[in-house]
Amino acid sequence: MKNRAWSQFCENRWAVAGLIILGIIHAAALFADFLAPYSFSNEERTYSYAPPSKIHFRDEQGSLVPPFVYGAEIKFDEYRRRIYQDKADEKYPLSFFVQGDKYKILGLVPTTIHLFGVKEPGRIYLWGADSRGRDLFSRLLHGARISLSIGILGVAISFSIGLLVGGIAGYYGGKTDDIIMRICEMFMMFPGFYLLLALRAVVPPNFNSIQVYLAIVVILSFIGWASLARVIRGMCLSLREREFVLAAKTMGLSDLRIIIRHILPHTLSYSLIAVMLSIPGYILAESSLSLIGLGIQDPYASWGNLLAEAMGIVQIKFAPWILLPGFFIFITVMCFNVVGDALRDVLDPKTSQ
Amino acid sequence: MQIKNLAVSVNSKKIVDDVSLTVEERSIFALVGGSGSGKSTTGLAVLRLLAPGLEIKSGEAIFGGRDLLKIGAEELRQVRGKEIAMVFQEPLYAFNPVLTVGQQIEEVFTAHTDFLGEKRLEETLRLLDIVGIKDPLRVHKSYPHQLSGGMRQRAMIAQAVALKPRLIIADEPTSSLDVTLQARVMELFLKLRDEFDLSVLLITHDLGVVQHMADHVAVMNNGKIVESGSSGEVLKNPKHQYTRELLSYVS
Ligand SMILES: Nc1ncnc2c1ncn2[C@@H]1O[C@H](COP(=O)(O)OP(=O)(O)OP(=O)(O)O)[C@@H](O)[C@H]1O
Ligand SMILES: [Mg+2]
Repeated sequence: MKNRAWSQFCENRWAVAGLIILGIIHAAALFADFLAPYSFSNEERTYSYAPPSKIHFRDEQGSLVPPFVYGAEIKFDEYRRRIYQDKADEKYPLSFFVQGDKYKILGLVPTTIHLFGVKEPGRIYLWGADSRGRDLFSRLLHGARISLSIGILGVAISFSIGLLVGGIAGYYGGKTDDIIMRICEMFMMFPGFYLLLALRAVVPPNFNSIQVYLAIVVILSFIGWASLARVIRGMCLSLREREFVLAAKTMGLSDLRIIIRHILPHTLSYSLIAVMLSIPGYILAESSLSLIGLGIQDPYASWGNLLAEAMGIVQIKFAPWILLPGFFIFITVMCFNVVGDALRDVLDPKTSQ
Repeated sequence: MQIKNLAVSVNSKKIVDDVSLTVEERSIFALVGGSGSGKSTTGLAVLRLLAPGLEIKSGEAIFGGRDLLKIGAEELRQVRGKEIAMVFQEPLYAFNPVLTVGQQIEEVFTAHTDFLGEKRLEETLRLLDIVGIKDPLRVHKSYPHQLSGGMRQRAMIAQAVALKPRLIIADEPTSSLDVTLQARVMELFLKLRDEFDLSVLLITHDLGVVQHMADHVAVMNNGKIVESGSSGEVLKNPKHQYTRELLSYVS
């Protein structure tokens, strides 16, 4: 049965494409330190808003040489805006597995090797630089880490709560169920974003970055669990009537064990769909918070606070590449939705007929 | 175990009314009766596992010197599965479809013992062997739907006897099996009774089975016990009209 669902899923080209893109993006985030030529905070202020570096494969004579970039000559126009021009006599060959900023592979093994880069004082800006001359490509990769992990972590926490609370409400029914459901409704009543702001306001201002990160995860989970709990509770109400639940009780299993081991696994396909369809919400919520400056703080990067740079029309006009984080948010959210929808078509008996 | 004056009602309508019976040690007690007469309800009431809406109005279920209808929740949980186990009519539904048969048998050990994984596996394989399953290892790894009805019922019985309970309540354990298998499973019950010194409360509507196996029998109709006694006597010499009716279906 699982195999049939999988092959059915594979027939949906969009969903497969979405899954592959998500795979690439997540892998890139995982190995961000290695793939990115610079750390997230490596800045070179003279290169403010430097445009994407052109990688040349031919020298002036037109003959094929190993790829290189030119050094930049910076001039100012009459509005004191920077104009970047190639310096013909300064060439920096693009090399692979080069020494660079220190980091730890997957947070464990310390190393300085990066996939690619150029020798100092040359700089390579694959996708341009931000206002402080930091490489946008590197920051996008590091930002992906934060934005994507907030989504996954948030969903993991709120789904654990939602499954457990929904399971308890549905399994016991009666008064327990009534009380839990009223609480859920209270949470669902508030418009999400305002609740988010209100909760964010409660977080002490002197938190450091990691604490803020965790606070955001907790806040997002806090908001997300209620709607899931409601649905799971409905499923458990009917599941508890099944005979294997009665059999489990006659065996003397504890209620919690019956809920977790015997009842909740039957909600797996629904939960899987719900996970896929809710992750975008978490990513967007983090982005919105960071965009308005209440989320991840500079110098740490998240897609939301990277996009915050693109709030002025002047910047967008002269450095359009700073819109890229928005593009990545869009792509990721779309992919999760496409994959989630496809899963629903395959797994949910109600829609598949 | 001794049930005294048990009464169960739903919406103030009595579906089990003043039922008293005694299952002696190492004996097989058959509870017979037509459909809807309240047999299953009686069996479930003893372990306080009635569906919501069904209410125990009065009565006692004395087992091991205490009243099961009064003890606390944790004490009751200790009784379930460890001292009194249950076998259901349709093991396909009584087993959880998403867990393997082995995992589910092992759960009894998880709930009541501190056996480690290896010991649990070993015990489970031994039990499957005892109930007459040829390749315990395969059955252990199988999901319920991958087994035949007979094997499933044997596995369910293995689960029930896992902790050597004093009493097994078997609710029509053979109704879902074909005739040849019915006889084998019944023999298994007799064998287990001797091997584990347990007693069986056998709920059935098959008087043929009663004749071969049961020491005592009680006949239920409309929630009441209309006749009871040693099975030879009752079957040879039915006093009550309803018992005669039931008997007439067999012969
Ligand atoms: N959840 C319930 N709600 C209302 N009535 C119920 C419920 N469960 C059982 N009953 C009623 O209780 C009576 C006895 O049911 P029970 O299942 O004990 O019969 P039974 O003797 O086991 O019958 P069968 O041989 O068909 O299994 C029936 O009349 C049935 O309609
Ligand atoms: Mg019944």
